[in-house]
Amino acid sequence: MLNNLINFLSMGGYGHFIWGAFGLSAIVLIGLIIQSLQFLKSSETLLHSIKEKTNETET
Amino acid sequence: MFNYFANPVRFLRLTSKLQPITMLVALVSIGLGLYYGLVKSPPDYQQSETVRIMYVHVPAAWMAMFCYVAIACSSAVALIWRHMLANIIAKSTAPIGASFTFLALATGSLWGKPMWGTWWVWDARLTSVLILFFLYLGYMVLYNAFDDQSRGARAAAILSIVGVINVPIIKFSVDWWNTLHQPASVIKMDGPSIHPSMLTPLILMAVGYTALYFWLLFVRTRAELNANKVRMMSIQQVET
Repeated sequence: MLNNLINFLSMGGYGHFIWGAFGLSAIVLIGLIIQSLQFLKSSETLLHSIKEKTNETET
Repeated sequence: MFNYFANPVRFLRLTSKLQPITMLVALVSIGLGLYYGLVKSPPDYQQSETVRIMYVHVPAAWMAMFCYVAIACSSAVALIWRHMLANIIAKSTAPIGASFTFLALATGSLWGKPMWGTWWVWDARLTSVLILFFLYLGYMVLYNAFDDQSRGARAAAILSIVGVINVPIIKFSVDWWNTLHQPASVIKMDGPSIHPSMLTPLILMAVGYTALYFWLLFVRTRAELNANKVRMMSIQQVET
């Protein structure tokens, strides 16, 4: 069982390169997802606050 | 149809429906693609286990070119018909395309070291993809280089249309020049020449990456439209 896992992780001696490529892809894409969601959230907060401000000045 | 969806309200209504679907397709396809790519598919007879890097490298490279063509097409629409939404779609695609290009270069390098014995060669395919990466960076810098956003958008749109000449150069570089990079084995006139056991994870990952692109695009365009509204409202406030 443990041997199987070690074999799988070593990827025929190329584990560093293969896991490096998959890991880097995961980091970049997940990072992009998080950054995009944060961008959306901050834009919504800003829009909200500016809308409130305009309402205040109108009333 | 262009004119129908050029209205931001209609566009947002459509994308809010499509957003959960694209996320679901991305999660399922990438999940299955990883399982088939890392567990089920066999090692290659020449490249052994390193062939698995192809499952993240090739879809990233496809998306790098797809996103660039998307930017150039929306930029053309923005320049000709002056649709504000087309500029926003192009602007929102740029960081996604740049990330995919970076991943294509980096994962290719991680494959090149064990297989070619080097991280990098100035081969026509690699060099033209590096130029694509710089075009993305140039596009993003130019877009934000002016105080007047519309001038930046115009300059960046022209750059992206001129730069689209690089896309066929990337695609055919492996046929036109004697490159170290191997020629196409999937998108060919006479059909793919790779075994279904390897084609399955490749297609799954490609579908997943495409769905992820659309999800990211919908999130980013929504944010950009909000930012645009904020800009308009602040100008109005200053004027009153």
